[in-house]
Amino acid sequence: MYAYLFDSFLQERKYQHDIGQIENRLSTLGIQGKIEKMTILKNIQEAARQAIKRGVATLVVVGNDETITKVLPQIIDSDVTLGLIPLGPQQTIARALGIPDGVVACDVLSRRILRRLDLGRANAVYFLFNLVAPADVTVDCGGQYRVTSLDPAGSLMTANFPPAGTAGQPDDGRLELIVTPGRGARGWLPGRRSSGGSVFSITKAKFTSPAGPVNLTLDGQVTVKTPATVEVVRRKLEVIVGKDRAF
Amino acid sequence: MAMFQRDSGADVKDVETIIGATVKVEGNFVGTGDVVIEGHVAGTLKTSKNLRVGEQAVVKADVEAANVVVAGEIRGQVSCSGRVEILATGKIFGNVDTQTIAVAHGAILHGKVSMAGHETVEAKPGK
Repeated sequence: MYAYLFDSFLQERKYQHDIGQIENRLSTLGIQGKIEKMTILKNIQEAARQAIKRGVATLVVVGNDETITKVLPQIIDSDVTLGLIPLGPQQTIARALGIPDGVVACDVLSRRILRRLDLGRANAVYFLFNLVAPADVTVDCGGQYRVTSLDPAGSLMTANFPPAGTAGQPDDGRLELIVTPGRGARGWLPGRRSSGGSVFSITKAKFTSPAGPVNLTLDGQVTVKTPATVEVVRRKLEVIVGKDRAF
Repeated sequence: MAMFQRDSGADVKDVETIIGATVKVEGNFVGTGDVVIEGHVAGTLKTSKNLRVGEQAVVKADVEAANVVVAGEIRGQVSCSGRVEILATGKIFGNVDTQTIAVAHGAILHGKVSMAGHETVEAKPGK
């Protein structure tokens, strides 16, 4: 049983044509289900909780990265499979999962290629894609070694979907810690000689900042303060993916 | 054996760990994949695969790897189950335990070299 949650920003007139096409295509493919369109008075977190309570097997969110981030905490401890129909800007997660924009995504849903993905967790907050930290954070990796950036203008990221060229995968039980130098230093690019970037494969790490608590940003939306324990949670989320996925 | 390419830095596609020039690592690093060091490492470093120490790298650690290419500096014991290659810019200040070794013209090696499978020959004083 499917349920479809449309994010509130899709009320804008410019999306109505796409939404009509999507509804028709879902019906044609025989994967229609209860459709709920969010408004300023109806939030997607509550709608997701209610759908799970009703016993849906597949919850499809229609929207962008922010929509997924809002729904993620509601479905983590359920057996629900997550599906996506990307509409609107900021589609980093959909790109990585190989889901095309708009009505074409319905065909990906109907093909139903399932992958069980790892999630990252910072203290008690989950993330699907990445965690970004300022460069002055020290990372203690499993109590064995510490990683410190020597470039105050750089940045630090823990990625579940690592950039192309690194060995990591979002279902390998590991996260990639990536330290990128700031301006003036050469950025990390696969195959480039003496690039300044760093990559570590980790399962658990503690993020601390000597200057006091700083914000870690999860999936570009949620923040968690240091000190934070960041770890991978293996195969926590089942997702429908496309054949053009990045892993 | 997919050894690192000598002049192209490294074939980083399958490299598990890259320690860049702007990063310092302290402690006991243990990896299972290829490791490239361009920055600073202090403590110990162990991997079951290959290690490349870049030209600007400073490693103050005992290191253990399958194969080691040194273009920078290592201060510590080097243990290697395969081949150690010290390039012209490479420096090792410490003992080396390996199967085979290649030392380029201009490289610096201060330490005792032990090669597994080969008997140690004590130098006899001349008559």
